[in-house]
Amino acid sequence: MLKLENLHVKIGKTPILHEISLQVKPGEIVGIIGPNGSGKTTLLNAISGFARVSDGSVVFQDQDITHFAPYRRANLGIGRSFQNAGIFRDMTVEENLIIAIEQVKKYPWWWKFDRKFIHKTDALIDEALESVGLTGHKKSLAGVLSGGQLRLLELLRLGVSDGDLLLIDEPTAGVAPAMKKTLSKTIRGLLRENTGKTGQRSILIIEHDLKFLFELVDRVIVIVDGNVYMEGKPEEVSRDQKLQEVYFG
Amino acid sequence: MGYFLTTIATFFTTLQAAAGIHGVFSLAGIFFLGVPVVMEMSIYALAIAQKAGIPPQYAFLIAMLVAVLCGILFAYLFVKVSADSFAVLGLASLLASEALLQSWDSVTNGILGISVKRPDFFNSLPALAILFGMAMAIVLILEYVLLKTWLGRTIRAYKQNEIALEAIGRPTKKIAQALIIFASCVYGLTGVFIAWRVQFVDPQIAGIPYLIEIITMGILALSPRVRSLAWAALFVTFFPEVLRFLNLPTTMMGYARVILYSLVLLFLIHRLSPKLAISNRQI
Repeated sequence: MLKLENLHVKIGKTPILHEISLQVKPGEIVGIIGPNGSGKTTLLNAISGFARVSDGSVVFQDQDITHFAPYRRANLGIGRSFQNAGIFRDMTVEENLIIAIEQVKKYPWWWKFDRKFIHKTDALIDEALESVGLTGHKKSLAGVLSGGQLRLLELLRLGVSDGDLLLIDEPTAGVAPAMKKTLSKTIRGLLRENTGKTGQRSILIIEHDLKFLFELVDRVIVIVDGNVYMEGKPEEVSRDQKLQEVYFG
Repeated sequence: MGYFLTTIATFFTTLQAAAGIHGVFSLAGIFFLGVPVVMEMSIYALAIAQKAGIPPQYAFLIAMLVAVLCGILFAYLFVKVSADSFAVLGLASLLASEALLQSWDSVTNGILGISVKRPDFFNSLPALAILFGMAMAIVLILEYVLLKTWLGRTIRAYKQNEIALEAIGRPTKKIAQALIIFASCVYGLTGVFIAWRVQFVDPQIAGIPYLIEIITMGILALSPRVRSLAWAALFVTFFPEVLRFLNLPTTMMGYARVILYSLVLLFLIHRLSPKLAISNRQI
């Protein structure tokens, strides 16, 4: 699904990532952890095209996308959520989803004037909102939602965007503990094998809440100072003594 | 009848100008302050072409071509600089173009200006008002349809979170550039209409005072609705009419209008500053 080979990323003249090589297989949920400033978000930026790669390659579904613009990568099937919820706050919850749906479904430009398309889109949105209990907020401005609800909305938008690889950046940042279960369930629901769609979707997720992450992922990659420090199953990683020292000090 | 038709014609061109600034400035949050430059350049292209003996209808096409070229130039510069710098660049280009038009008097006649002929079939004021009305209606219908389409939603989303929009798969830079070129075309057309109405151009036809008028309309029409444009244009056209009741000397009227618009703009910026943000281009 995704293959990074000897990836180097600099911001200005400062090297952030050095020789990162990793793979994500179809249907896999991979967690990325590491101390603050270790380059986790830069890694997602490099995969989604928001950070320029100075050396190495990004291969997605056997296609070299190293120098593709972010929108081209999104259209190839790489979905992305952001640390500070990438939501359009002055648009309604419904419009936030519509903007992703119409991108994927390749609707004709005049679809808003056709009842058939409107009903079809309404049904999709109602189903998505119902799955996370946001039905009552369909016509509300997204800006009035709580931090957790914004995260859910962003995840729903990723879900309807039909991407094959989803990059999720710190979904629980600023979210109440009670909401974390719903978030975890929603992220699991994003895997196609759980939504009944064809093809397998993969998820790459950055998270600081290790308990939340270890319950969710199949594999964990630890990044320290821009290098892959170690990778393995959650139980292997959590037992590593060196990691305890590096990560928790 | 002359006053009525002139005011109606002014309203039509003002509404058209409001539609031009609505997408790029009010909805997308791109501070394209170089629109008066596009207008000046296309008006002067029209006037200079006519001065060189080219018939008015061909001069019109030349003026529109110049507007498109100016739009392409601004669109190119937009992706080369930051959003803030683009705003400053627009303002600087306005001062530069005014200086150029004033100093290059062998071609532009300097501050004396150039007279402009109307095409034969729009030579009367009623015919001109009908033409302006039709052009305005077309621009407004386009605007209404655009706001209902994916492009309208994209423009609104662009202002709020350009990065998230790009991550959904929309080519944000291309869309912003298309908006700048569209606004340039509308302002090129508006400039030609203004020149046909007043039948004269000088270097101050679209300077800072006109920019203040445009920005006032842009702020009044922050909402993504066509009727907000109509209200903005009505306000900008008819509000200065109150000055007529103040018995000011004729020489002061022009300056009083500018002062009035500036005060309105200051008030609007003070009241609506949180909504008036340059599009977010940071990750």
